[in-house]
Amino acid sequence: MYLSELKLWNFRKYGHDTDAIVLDSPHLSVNFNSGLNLLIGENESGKTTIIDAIRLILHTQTYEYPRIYEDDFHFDGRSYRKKLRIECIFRGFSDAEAGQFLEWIGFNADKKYELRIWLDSEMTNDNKIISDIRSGADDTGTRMDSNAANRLRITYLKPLRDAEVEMSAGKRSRFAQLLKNHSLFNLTDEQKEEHTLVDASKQAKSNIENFFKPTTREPSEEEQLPTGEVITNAIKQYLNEFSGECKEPNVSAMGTKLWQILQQLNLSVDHDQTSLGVLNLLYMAAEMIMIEDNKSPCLRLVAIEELEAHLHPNYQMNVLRAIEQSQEMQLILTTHSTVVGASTKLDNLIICKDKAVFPIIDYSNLGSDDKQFLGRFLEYTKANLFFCKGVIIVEGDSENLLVPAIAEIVLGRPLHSYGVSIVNVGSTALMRYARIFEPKEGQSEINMKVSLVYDGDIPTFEFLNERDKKKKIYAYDLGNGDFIVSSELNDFKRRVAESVQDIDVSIYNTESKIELEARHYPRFKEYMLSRHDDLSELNQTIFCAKKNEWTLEYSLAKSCLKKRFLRAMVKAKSQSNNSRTFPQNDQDATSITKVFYGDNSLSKALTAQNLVEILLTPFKTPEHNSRIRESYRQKMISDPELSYIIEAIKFACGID
Amino acid sequence: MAISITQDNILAYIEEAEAILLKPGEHFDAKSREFVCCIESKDVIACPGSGKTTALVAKLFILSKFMPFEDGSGISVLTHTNVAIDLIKEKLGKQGSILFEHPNFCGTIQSFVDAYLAQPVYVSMFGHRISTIDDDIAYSYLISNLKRWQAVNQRPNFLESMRNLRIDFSAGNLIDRKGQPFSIPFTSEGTKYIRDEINSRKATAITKGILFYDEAYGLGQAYLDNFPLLSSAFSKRFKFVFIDEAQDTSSLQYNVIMSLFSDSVIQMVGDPNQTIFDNLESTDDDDSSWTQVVSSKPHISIYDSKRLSAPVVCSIRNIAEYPVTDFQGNDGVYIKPTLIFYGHDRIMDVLPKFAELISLQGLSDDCKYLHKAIGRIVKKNSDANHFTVPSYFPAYYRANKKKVVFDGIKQYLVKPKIDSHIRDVKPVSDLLINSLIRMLNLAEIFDNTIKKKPFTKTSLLELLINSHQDHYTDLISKISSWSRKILSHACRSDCPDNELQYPTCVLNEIITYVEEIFFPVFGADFSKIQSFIDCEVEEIQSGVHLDNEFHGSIDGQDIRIEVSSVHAVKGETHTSTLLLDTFYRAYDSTRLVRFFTSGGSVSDLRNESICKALRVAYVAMSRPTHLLCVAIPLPEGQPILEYWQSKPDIERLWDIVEIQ
Repeated sequence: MYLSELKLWNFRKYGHDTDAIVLDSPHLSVNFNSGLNLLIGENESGKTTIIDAIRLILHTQTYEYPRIYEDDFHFDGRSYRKKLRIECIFRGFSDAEAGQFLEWIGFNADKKYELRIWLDSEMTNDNKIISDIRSGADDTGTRMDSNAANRLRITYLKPLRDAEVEMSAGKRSRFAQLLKNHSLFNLTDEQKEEHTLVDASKQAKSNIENFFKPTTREPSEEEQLPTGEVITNAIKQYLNEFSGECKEPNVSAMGTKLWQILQQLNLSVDHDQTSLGVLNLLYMAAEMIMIEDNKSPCLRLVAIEELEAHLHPNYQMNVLRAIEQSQEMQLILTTHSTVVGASTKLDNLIICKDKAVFPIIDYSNLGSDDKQFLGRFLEYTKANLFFCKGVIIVEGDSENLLVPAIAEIVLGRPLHSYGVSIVNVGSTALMRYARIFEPKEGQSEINMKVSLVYDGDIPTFEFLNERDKKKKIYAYDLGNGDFIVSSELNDFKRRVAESVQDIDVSIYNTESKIELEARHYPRFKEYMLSRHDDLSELNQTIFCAKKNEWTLEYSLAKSCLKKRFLRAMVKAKSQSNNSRTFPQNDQDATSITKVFYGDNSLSKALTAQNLVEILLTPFKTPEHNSRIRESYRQKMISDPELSYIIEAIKFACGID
Repeated sequence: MAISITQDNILAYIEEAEAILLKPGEHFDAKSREFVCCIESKDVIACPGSGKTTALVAKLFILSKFMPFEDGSGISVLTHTNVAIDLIKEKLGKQGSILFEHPNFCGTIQSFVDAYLAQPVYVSMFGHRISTIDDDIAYSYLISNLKRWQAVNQRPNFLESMRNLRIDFSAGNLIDRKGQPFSIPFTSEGTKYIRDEINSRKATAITKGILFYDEAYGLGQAYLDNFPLLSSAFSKRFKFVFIDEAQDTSSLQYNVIMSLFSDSVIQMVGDPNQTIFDNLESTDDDDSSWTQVVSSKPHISIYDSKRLSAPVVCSIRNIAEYPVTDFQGNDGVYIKPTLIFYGHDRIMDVLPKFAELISLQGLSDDCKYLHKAIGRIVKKNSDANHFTVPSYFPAYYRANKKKVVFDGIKQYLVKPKIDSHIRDVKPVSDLLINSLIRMLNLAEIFDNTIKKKPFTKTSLLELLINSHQDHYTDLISKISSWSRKILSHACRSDCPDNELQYPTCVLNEIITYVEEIFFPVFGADFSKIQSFIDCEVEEIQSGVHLDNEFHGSIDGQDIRIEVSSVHAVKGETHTSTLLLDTFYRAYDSTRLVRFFTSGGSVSDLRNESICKALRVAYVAMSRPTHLLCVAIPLPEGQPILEYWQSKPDIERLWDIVEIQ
């Protein structure tokens, strides 16, 4: 069995402005899978709220009893709600597990077992909080017997716990608690009395206590050192003076009951000062063996808050991999860590954001090949995709460098202050990345603005007409000065058939491929544009997909930044010892762009880096005239060649 | 490591169990030990007084030592009555509390089926819970709308036939309790209307969740048919299933148990001769009940009776549907059982005669002795010459223990006295709150005024907590003080109300409270409940003793004899028992005359009315440790006594006493 669904009504940030609890429409609903679930999101995104809700209803193996407080009730800005509800649904039962819950279990439409347990809490008029946990297949339910409820307890590792204290001797030792519950110590009273540990402990106790016992005999000669008798006697003297009575002080050592012995044990590594990270590993290991030890049917759910808070980064991956392997356990982890996020399969990721939660597997419109692709490419630098309020997805290094610089100039402050991240996907597969944020039909939208900045990739005619690049196309003269142009035969046939009747099929011969001519170019451009129309399917409220005509470099060469761009190119040429002949200031954009193509091409990234430096210099030097800065900014904003970048920035930052 | 349950490990605890459950120095006999240690599916056939329930309790006691079981499973103990469960609870004491906790289940088969099968499947079908499973309530609900058709229909059994009206949950059509299509006894007049009306009334009853007891099994079977994987879940949950008084298991129940616990260890303990409950009416084609199949299954037989003396065993050995030749009594007591024949006009002398015989045997002077006079039929027969229990003891009071809604406040106060087993405060305080709700109903004050939905205990208290905090506190303290007074009533002989069945002080306090505080809170009109206040408990007027005790006086010594029905004393042990012959279409003595000596014929055992009489007589006569008597009327002008005496063995087995 595993926790399959969690539903919340008016619990903390997940709520509405009415007290009515409509069972069919929870204010939050999260689906979990039976293995690893990673809740990922920024601070205040609801990760802890989800774990707390689970703890409140199922309780933990450590028998702490969290309770509902006033501020657990949703606050809508004016008042607190009076009622809240938390509901858990379990699925995937074995026969033995189902057997434990026969009084409460039901069936779903597929005749599979389904167990619902819920907590209703109400704040009375005199501010008392009354909570009731019930379970059943109907909406009334009955209270669950505590023996049965104990089988639903979760193993919970709270953030920033003190692993050293918990694994050390003492009444509150978690280690002792774990040992006591282990089947090794599940003994009858007689067996406990006769346990090896008890024998050993009794022996030690009597040795220690004897050391302090007053003796009547004279110390023999072999006894070099005085015994604790000295202390006992001295204390006795004072005690009797103080009390005026004759009392016998008694030094006693530890108790010898088995549970007392267990409380005296520490768990550590190699007797040395152990690092906190290793202590945490020890702690987790101890918790894991307890779960494995318990063979009786019960929920095996481990919730770990802020995995990264417990572990050094080099352990995080190992731990994740190891627990992912475990077939036996269900894991719900929370993290801020991009490392943890990126090293987890997409299916296991649940994004927490604002008032909603999006398991990628349920939320996104990803095909399985998309997911495989992403799994391979989501290195951890890219996982910051999950943490921001807006994302600008770019397809290359130049954009990755330039877009933040342009943003800083145009907006007056850096992108990250808007909570917007730039993700360089380093390939033209940016549509695949974008789809992570695209909701499936029926899913509510994630509150995140996503801009795509990418190239139109339609070279100029001049470029195509260069001798070595000459482009072959299919063209059909419609006779009225217009053409049907295509580079694909099937597409060509379809379009010709659409506009012309009684066609001579001989035009479909491969020989009808001709060189692109200037008169064909406008139609050719139209055709190229039409090939990328899948962008229009993107949800307009989330996505802003902007592209230029050809490439970033071409746009820059045409823009008001042309001079600066050329300076950046010259600098890059000298930095990289490039021998390419170089365009002059007055040369056209195509010629400038050509420098980045072919053999011995100039590095786009290096040029971009130089340009960023040049662009930002006036803004970094304080003595620079602010009026010049402002006119520079205005020029860029009104430049049509840069508008595709600036619009994308504004959209992601939520600026109209 | 947890200790596994093996025969040897169980055996290790048997002395501890003996020390707790048996008298000092006593031990379980070999067969009982075999049963206690047995951990495979095997049934037990046990004769009366064999200590089978004690052996079962010993087994439960020992199993509880192994709990919780390592695999998380538990055991299920199923009986037919709550009394039997209470008995087990009492015997186990504190040690047994774990048996009443999850994952174990101890309760009646009906409650098990209701909770684990009927309720879940009903919820899945209707989205809400069953409201009641009770034959009487289901019946009165059905007929409340059909009464007006009685005049049209005119068949006298028209309404009564509704007791048999069931629904087939898989097919949805009306059936009778035997599963046949339901036929309405009606005359041609208004046929169709009546049928439609019955159809819709039954459908409403089902949607409202008002069901007959046996419909729970139909639902349960539907649940199992629909979700076959349930049976393995039940087997995993309940490793051991024990059923006490297995002979009372109907084939309906038996089939559900067998399919539900297909992989569990099932042990059913019972005595086929003591099958006396009527809900089992076995039909001829019914060959799947436990009593029919047990002898062909692996079983352990315990035929040594610790209760019954050798003479009693000799006398009753043949008065059995399944005679057991190995049936052995104990040698501690030697009192020959007695047949008391009496003339019709001497019936009032039967109980005094029994008292006399008790005294004669020296069983009168110790208050620990328990004497009972019991009969099969306790309902008065309209013909005074057809004797039933009240004919022997006219003061006999047949308490309707189930009745919970009364017409007068005094009846609420007397109720705890009638349910003599009530010792806790809660049932009494619940009764008092129910009486208040009843008064509100009569004054037409409802929880929901539009729907006229009456208050429940919860809704009433909730209303008071939320809106009248002071009154709530006041009411709760009053109720607890009244409850205490009711429970301790008549324990002091100097109490002025000692003769009454309820404390007048409580009555007066309640009336004052309702008039001055409770009704004004609700704005209710006190005059509307005047008749409720004034209504007398009829039994009190006629001076009936609610405790059904006959007091015989022999030589100035008081001998108390409790009068009861056979069904009520099943499983009990008495010092002396008098079986009162009663009339239902015939006297049982007439039916069973052959069995008193040599045993019946094969054709007798095919006669259902003889078999029924046989089982009841067997249960009745297997109660006493010392003295067994049977009172038989001598029909006027017939030489029946001579006929009895002509039987060769009768004088060897029975003493004969004649009251003429």
